[in-house]
Amino acid sequence: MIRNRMLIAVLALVLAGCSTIQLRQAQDSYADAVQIESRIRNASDSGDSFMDLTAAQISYKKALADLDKVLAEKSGDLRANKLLGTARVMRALILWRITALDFHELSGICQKGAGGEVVDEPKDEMRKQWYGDLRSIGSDLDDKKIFLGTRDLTVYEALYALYAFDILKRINYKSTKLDVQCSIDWFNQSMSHFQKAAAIPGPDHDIQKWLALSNLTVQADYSARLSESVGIDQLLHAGYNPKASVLKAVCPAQDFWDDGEDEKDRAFLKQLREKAKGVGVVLTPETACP
Amino acid sequence: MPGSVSTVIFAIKAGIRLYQAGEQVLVQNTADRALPLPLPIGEVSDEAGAQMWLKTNSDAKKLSERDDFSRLKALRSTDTGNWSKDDKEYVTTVYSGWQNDKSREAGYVTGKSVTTVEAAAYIEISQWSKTEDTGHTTALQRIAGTLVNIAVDYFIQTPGALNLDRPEGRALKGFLEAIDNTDFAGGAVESIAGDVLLAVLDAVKWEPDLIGKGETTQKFVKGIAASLGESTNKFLDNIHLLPDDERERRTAWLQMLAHAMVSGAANVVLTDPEKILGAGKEEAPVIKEVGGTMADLLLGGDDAQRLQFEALFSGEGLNEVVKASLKAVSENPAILGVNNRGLRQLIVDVSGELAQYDDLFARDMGPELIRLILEKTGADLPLLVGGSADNPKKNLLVLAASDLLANISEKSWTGGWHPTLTRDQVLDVAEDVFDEVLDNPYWLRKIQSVGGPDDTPLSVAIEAVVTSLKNTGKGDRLSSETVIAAIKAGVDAAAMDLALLKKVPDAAAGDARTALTAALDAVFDGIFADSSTAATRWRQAGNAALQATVELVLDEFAGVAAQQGVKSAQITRIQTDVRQWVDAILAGADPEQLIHDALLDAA
Repeated sequence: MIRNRMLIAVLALVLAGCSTIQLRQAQDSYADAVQIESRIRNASDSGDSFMDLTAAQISYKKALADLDKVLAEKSGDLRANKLLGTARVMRALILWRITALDFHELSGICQKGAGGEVVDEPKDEMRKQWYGDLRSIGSDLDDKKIFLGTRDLTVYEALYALYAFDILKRINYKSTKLDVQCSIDWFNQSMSHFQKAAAIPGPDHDIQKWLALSNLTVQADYSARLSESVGIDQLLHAGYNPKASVLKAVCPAQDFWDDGEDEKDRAFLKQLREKAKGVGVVLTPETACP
Repeated sequence: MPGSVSTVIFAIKAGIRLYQAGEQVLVQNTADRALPLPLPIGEVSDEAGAQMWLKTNSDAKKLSERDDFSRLKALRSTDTGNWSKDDKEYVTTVYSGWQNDKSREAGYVTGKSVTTVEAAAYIEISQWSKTEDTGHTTALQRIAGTLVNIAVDYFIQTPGALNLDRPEGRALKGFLEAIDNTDFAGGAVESIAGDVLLAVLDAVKWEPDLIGKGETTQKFVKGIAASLGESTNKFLDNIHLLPDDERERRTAWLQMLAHAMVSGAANVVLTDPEKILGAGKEEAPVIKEVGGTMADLLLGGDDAQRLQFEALFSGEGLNEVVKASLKAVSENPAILGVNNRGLRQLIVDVSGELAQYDDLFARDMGPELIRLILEKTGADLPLLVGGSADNPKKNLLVLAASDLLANISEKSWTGGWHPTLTRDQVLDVAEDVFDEVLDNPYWLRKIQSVGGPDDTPLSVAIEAVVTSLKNTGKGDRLSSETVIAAIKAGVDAAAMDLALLKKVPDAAAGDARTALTAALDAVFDGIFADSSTAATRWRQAGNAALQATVELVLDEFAGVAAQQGVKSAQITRIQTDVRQWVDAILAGADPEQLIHDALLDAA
């Protein structure tokens, strides 16, 4: 027993206030928030309730507060343990969810700069932080100040694609002032970042599933918004090819879609099919990837 | 575990090293940890799909060139922004039909059903893929350096031990091989690996014969490492996130379990290795299941249950229960029961029974009572246990123990006096009772003519004796040995003839007593009736003579009753003649025949 008590005392000294534990707690808060969001979305999909994601937003904000605390107090420790990159990518993920669950349209999105370029600086605080985080992560990666594992690096790249999608979702497509070309630029940016992201992990990494579904979600949602407002022709004239784009989205995840005995694979294929239908493409297990 | 200063210091150093290694494992686990990634929220519109299809799909183009689809052709060349609502619906309907045809062509109609995979709005993603070369390490690799240091310290203290020809060397090899094959959860391995290693090394140090052959070594250590590994994964995953006291509690119990498993298995392994290690099996199933059961009891369940088991397993309790369980299960694996719930249920039931009593004897008799029940249960398993995995039947011996404890515990004695029974005395009478149950299982079934609606012959028999002991009013003159002897004699006599448990008229008390109570009352009344001489007689008789008298009288009474039936005259005869029989015993004679003749004569 003496040995036991001493061991615990030593462990307590070693681990008390440990940055790793604080980061794990923030990871847990984030995971809880994801679960809450998923439950609400599933209940809404099954028609059980109207989708009110306020509870999920609050949970993400709590996760953000937990994470910000450890980042403020222990970023040196996290960096020393090569955990700073993981923490910062998770922060960007949380900011994505907080903004994504806010369904308000944004004004002044497709303004152009003096040179005619699209101004991509967000106007509201959360988006500013989100975009600022992404750029700062990119800069620190270039300077080798942080380290990212395969998942985190892929998520980092994909968050640019999702940032563009966030903009696409907030454009008022019924506005007569809408510059469709501006939205197409954002859409192309999104597709481009998804492709960069898909090139990071190997074909057997689970994250390919998330990328494929996210990519198809963006394509289907954007098509739906255009078809309800100005029509899809401008997008097609700008070079969008539904079948080629769907294949670019799903083929990196080909290892995971199969109509065989594995229910998970079948469920994944079913999800892909449903989203691909939204851009006029039918996927089958035999769909040939280039 | 040896208690020398050097060993304690060595153990502390070992623990510190492991926990320091553990912190690095925690960091790595945090970076690698799977995280849920939410899927973006987006709309999927059939109308949009239909528009895209008509404008870009080659089949749609072909279709639109057919005469019966001229409207499609017109829409194909019209900007979708100018389509009417009706146009959109029309194209969506055609698109839907084409999708079905296309799917059928591909032999893919609607897709196989997906029933068990719950749709979630997120995907859980690990940092690395399974095949990615990221410096992923096995449990052994993660703590290898630390274990090597610990082993070096150990072998410095035990010169010459690091040699595969020596037991310690073979034990270490077996341990390392076993732990390398055990899939520990992240962050958990360092909490237990060192303790298992130390427990194994300690065990072979004190039981060098334990590690006789290579295969035995490997299977023995592997079984223990696998069992504790599973429990560690189950109860110590994310240990660093637990509150300090809970972390300490779980780790301490798993450490104790590691030692108990090694020392408890040692004897059985030495006597009959195949029984406990399992002939031809990769791992030792008995060790694995018993270890898992104990860990579940100590670390699973609710707080109240855990406290109960902690009380049961404190001191040497865990070692005793583990040892008895390993022995019993190795001799009769069926004791584990359906889905391995039998052993667990037995321990749950016994600790539940004992928790009801504050008596001194109840405090530390749990492990021994479990051992006794396991030993006896092995003798006639089908008779004693049964039921389903969800609802295992209570072991008959647990029911018997329950009847016994309910009747002899302090709270069952009303009035001033009660015997102070020791653990060994209660276990002694429990063993006697268990033997009777094994011979006569009907002792625990309700019999119409015996007792009340909730009574069994066993409970009536014990209560009959206890009632008589209370009736004497001279309890303070009875030693606890006499009380135990009376209960055993009463149970044995009633087993011989159940008629002793039926009521007989009692003219003096104006109420009916069981024949057994009446006979015992007669013995005590006969001895203590004359108060002026009772004390003297008592001093002369002593408890030993009284015990002999009770045993002889009840034995003969049951024998004669079995032949002639129970008669009131026999009770009267006991009362009048008992002094004479005591005198005979005091004089060194055996009054068995005398008693038999007197009772036969009365009948």
